[in-house]
Amino acid sequence: METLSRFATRRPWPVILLFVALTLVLGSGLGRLTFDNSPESLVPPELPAYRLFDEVRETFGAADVAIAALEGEVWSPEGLASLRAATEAVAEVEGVLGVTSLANAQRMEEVDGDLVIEDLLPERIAPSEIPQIRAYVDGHPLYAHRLVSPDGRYAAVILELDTSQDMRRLNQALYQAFKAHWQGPVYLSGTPALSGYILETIQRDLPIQMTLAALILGLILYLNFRSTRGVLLPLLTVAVALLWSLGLGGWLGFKLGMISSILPVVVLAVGSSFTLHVLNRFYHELAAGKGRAEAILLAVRETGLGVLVSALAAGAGLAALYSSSIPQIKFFGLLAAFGVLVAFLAASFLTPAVLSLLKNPRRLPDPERPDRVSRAMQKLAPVVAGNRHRALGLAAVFLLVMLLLATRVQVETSFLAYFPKDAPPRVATELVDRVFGGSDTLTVVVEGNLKDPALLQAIYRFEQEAKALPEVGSAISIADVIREIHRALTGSYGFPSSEEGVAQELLLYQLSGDPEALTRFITEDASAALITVQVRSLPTGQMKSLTEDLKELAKRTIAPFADAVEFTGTTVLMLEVMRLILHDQYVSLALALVLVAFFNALLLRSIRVGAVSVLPLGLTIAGQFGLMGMLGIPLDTATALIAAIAIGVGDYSVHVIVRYLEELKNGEDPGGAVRTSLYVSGRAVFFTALAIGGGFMALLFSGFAPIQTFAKLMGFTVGATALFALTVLPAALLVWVRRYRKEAGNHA
Amino acid sequence: MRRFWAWVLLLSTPVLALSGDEVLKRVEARPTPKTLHGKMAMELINKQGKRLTRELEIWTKREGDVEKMLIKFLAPPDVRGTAFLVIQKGDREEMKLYLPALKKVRRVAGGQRRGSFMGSDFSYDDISRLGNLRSADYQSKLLREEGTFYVVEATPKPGVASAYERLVIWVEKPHFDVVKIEFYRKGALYKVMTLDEIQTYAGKYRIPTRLVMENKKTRHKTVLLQRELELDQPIPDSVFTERFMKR
Repeated sequence: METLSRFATRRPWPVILLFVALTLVLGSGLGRLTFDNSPESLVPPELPAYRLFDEVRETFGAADVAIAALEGEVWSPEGLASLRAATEAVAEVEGVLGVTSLANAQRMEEVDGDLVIEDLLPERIAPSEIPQIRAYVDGHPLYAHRLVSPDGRYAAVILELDTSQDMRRLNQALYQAFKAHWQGPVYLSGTPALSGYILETIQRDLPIQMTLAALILGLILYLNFRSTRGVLLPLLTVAVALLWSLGLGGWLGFKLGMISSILPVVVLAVGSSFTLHVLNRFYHELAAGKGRAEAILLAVRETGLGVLVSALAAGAGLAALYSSSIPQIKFFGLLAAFGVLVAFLAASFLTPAVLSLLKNPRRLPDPERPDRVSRAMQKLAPVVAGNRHRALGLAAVFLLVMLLLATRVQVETSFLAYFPKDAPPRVATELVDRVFGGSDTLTVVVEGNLKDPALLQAIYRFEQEAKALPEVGSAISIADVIREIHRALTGSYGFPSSEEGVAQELLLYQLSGDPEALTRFITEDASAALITVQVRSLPTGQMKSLTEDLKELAKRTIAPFADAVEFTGTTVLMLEVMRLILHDQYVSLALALVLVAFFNALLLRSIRVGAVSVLPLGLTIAGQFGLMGMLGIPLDTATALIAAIAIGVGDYSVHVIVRYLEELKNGEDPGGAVRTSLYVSGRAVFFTALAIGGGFMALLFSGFAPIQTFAKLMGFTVGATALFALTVLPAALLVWVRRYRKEAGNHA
Repeated sequence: MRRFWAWVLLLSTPVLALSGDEVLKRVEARPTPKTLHGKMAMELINKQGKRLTRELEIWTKREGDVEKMLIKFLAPPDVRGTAFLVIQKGDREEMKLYLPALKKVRRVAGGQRRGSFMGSDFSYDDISRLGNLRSADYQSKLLREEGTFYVVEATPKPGVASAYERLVIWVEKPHFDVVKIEFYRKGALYKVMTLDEIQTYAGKYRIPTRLVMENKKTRHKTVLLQRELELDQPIPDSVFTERFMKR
């Protein structure tokens, strides 16, 4: 490592050119980087619920339904004509697999002994016909309250969508198609609106957050170095790291979603600390009167191990996220780890190379000169030394209390709560919830002989009981279709008495519409059917218990007559995602802690030191979860990342250890070693914590609540790790690491 | 001499380039049977390739401007006996339905012309267009000649009700058989019909016995196979009655 850094100092141009070349090559992938926050980006493809979702999509055409509400005078010739034009227009939008509205609904009823099968809306709508059409719709269980609100102020357009589409494009295309034909307000709820909004927000927020993070970092770097160079060099290295990792993501075809959009800020914040350490030491050596070349070498040599260990730990913590089953988190972990390692490489080689080309600054402030911060650190040392057992005892109590509080952490997300109150998709979703009884859909797949009247009766009973639940707006299936046909044919609601009767009524329905009309409800061979349950948009906890209730209900009503009853749909998938996040959380956390301890033990050549080194991290993570339990912050897709990222950012305490061991090696007694360590490294830890924490504060300006919460928690995390690194860590070192083998110090 | 020229004109017609309109007129001029009776297998194939087969028996009869059609389902077994009777007199259409499970004949009202034919990808219009491509309804243009085919573009004249914006029709030269039609809607190819088996009956009727209609949007496909065809055999009027439907 040191040899390489020396090479970089002696021959800076080849190194700089190499970095420039690689930056150009990898950075050119930036243009290929796309955004995606579709359910697919969150759901592991091998998940059984996803396989079912996919099967349903293949068999029935669409498993994801979005509802648009059009506000205006629906029951007027103009309103209905506009609705028809809008329905036809959205049907042509790419990604729309099916559209249902009053405009393409069918009328099937008995009129004067004739069976009338025709389009609900005639070609030309006369005002005098409207009351009759309205009366028919109001009495129709498939249409009333589902396709039009009881007061006639809102018409619903139910869209079946291909979820693999670019949701932002789809959302815009849908909106334009509606607006071209409908004069009144248009409210789009469902996945495309929500995902489209998320993607728009990410693209708007990303440059702002990056600029803000760079500004905050710049300010803190300036406070530390008081020179332009001290600001620009660390920012240069993180810019390189950012270009490499985002570019690599582009080349590998990764897509950024809501979670992975924090990648740039993570790389900026974490990566900047490496160069900060190197520069700190460089200026210190320069101020001490060393020549430029020597100062660079000394800086790299002295800080190299600490920077290497913290880079590896950060990389390991982030890479541990690759064990996640959620694709978006996986890619985030991989790219963030890569970015952090690039930042390390840039700090170790690019920084020395650039430094060797620059003239020495005229003013030479020593960043390691005793200032208020280092004096405070110096005062801290004896306090810690004197109370080391008490400090460890307090840490143990803290750990216990926090772990206890952590048991109260809820895994719960209200997807809607992610969005600001006035965000169009939130407004639309709340409106559809209110007017049409639900914007979310649960899909129940029933397998069996769907021509069996007993099974149809069972499905109908399930629907009736489901609709009695306050969270359920509607539930429809082939059973409702057959009841309608049966009424048109016989004059009374019910089901035919035989399988033949069902088959013939189904045939009649098929003959009266297009061949695909029925396949939204039932397979052509009548071996499987869908029940679409429209529910209000609920927080995951309530949604989970509602799903459980409905499953129980299905088991009681349908299961005795069917071969299988299964639940799917985007909502069910999201519940699965939440379950996986919780599960992954423990895996990636354990993995990350073990990896960090392993690297620390390996590089510092002592298992005991490795174990002590993860103490601040362990306490911080317990603190995070305790805090979340205490404040009722739920574990969701964003907050689930904090533990792993904490490990990534929090390992600057290693600098304290490295210095402590150096001093022991140089023959200093443990007490003196702690004093020197805190005096020299304490200031660096303080400013690193400030820089990293400050960088994360840029995320406070995110358009999403979970990302803002994440930023606040990161603030706590960075502060806590620094606090523990400066108090509990030295105490633990004094108690458990009092000797250090001499030869062990000849590191890296 | 005049007869001579008439002969020359007649013989040379196939070699002289025809206009699109002339091609369609020649298609229209082919003889069509007065009655038809036979069986039809209807195979519905969805985009995953799953097949569903129905078998029907069909009787049709044409007398002046009255067209009668009776369709009875033979299979699958649970719909066997389901029958449809359509009697069309000029613009008026009467449709009756018999479901064996209800043991009752019901009159069906409502515009079905543009709807699907027996739940297939063919519409009633598509089916009737086969026997009777009314050239007067279209503005036609010969696009090109491809080997033994004329390729004609037909656009419905203003005021003619049509589900399509434009048709591109492949007509095979010797018999003026329509072998393929592309249906366009909203500027895009919507459906494609291919008639890949055409047989001569009674020495003069060219009847397609295998027809495939593919919906390009839904990727759903219907294959119709006609067999045991009897043409111009007298069919008594008693066939097109409620009593016969119930039988």
